Amino acid sequence: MPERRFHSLRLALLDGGIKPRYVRRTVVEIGEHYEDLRQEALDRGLDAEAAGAEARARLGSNESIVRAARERPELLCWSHRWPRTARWLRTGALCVLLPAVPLVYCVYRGPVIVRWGVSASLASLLTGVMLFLMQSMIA
Amino acid sequence: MAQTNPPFMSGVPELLLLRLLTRREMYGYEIVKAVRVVTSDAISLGEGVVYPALHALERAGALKARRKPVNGRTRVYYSVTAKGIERLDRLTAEWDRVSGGVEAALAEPEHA
Repeated sequence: MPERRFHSLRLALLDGGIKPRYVRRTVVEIGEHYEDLRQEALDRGLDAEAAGAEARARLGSNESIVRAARERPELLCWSHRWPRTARWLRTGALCVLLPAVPLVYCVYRGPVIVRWGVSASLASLLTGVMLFLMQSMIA
Repeated sequence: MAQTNPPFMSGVPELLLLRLLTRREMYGYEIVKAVRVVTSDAISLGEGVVYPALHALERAGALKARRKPVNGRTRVYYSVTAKGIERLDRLTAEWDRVSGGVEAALAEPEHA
């Protein structure tokens, strides 16, 4: 499967911020290109190993392919295209979500919170009374 | 005021890709081979780096791609759209302007 051969390229493109749609296409097309180059080398009389190595070399390194893709802003994910905006949005979302999550939980799980609150209060009261009695007995 | 020419060299692969694809639809491997043939090996595009250029042109609406099964394999064929022809005309005019300028400069007698 040619695509599996280019797994490291897939990871490098994703790390480079390329949109997954273009990563998939690039890997598939480069896989096909590799097969064509390999066949061309085999037809020239090279053995399978040498043909594979030549095909890979002619395609260029993963770094050069990622660099070429990163030079095209339209192929980048929005978070890599506008990193500052993405950072601001992420921070803003966290500032809203962090206090909102416990609040929403309390609203939707009201009876559980009340039950838990009542049991905790009763337990505290009982412990307090026991400690008070023990202290009174010692005194 | 003189125009700036950012696509002077960076636009060359784009110009070649569009020009070649106006002749007929091709897939990546064919395109790279064709560039080498038509430029008599003067320009050879990195074989793997041709795909980001093709995808960017497709995204801009200058090319359209279609998958075609050939001998049990699926190839992605690219062809030029009407928008691509307009872009090619613009790039060709830009290239003529810049290369004309360079030729004129080279034709100037050397100053002492």
